[in-house]
Amino acid sequence: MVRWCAERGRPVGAVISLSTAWALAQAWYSDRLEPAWRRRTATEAQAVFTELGLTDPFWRLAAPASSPES
Amino acid sequence: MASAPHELDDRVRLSVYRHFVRRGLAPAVRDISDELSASPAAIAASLERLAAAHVLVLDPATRRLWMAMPFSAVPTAFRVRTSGGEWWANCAWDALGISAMLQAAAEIITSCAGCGDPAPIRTTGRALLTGSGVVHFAVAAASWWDDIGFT
Repeated sequence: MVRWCAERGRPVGAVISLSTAWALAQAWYSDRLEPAWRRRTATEAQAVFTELGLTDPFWRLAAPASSPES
Repeated sequence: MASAPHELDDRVRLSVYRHFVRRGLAPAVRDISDELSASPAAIAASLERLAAAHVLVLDPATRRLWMAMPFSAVPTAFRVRTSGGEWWANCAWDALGISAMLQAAAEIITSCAGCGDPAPIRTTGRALLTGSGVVHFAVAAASWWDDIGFT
């Protein structure tokens, strides 16, 4: 992965399994069509990452007031 | 009586998503305007507020809808197909997100970024069915919105 990124000039970033990506997709998007949907706060988003074991600094949110919502 | 801005924004957001779900593509301002019986100017202003709040993404040049995550308004390397339609997703995570959001069995048509071989993924809508490999995130979470197009 490091070589692949270097060849394409992309940051190495983070790599997660497909199953973790699916769990993250479910946690993140399953409520997106609900009328009452609101963006997660940074604290709420961090809790989603933590629940899925995404505790590496890559997943750490810088400012409590901001949200990484995708 | 005119809607309060935040109330209109909620309705515009839902209109955008419902249009994507039904039609497989992004609505134009006129589509939303017609559905909500609001002026195009009011809809355009609402879309700008939603973009500023990182709820949607507008094309920097045209101000047309670019992303209503997990949907993409433009073709990408991730196509999602269900019995109800087809959509472009912004990334692998979002491709899975379309299936999770719709709770619909889906086939994700994509290819390995490394070798270019087809790398289809299938879900039941509630679980991952088939697929192999890993998902690469290039940008750290705290910086995703620094350049959302790159992210």
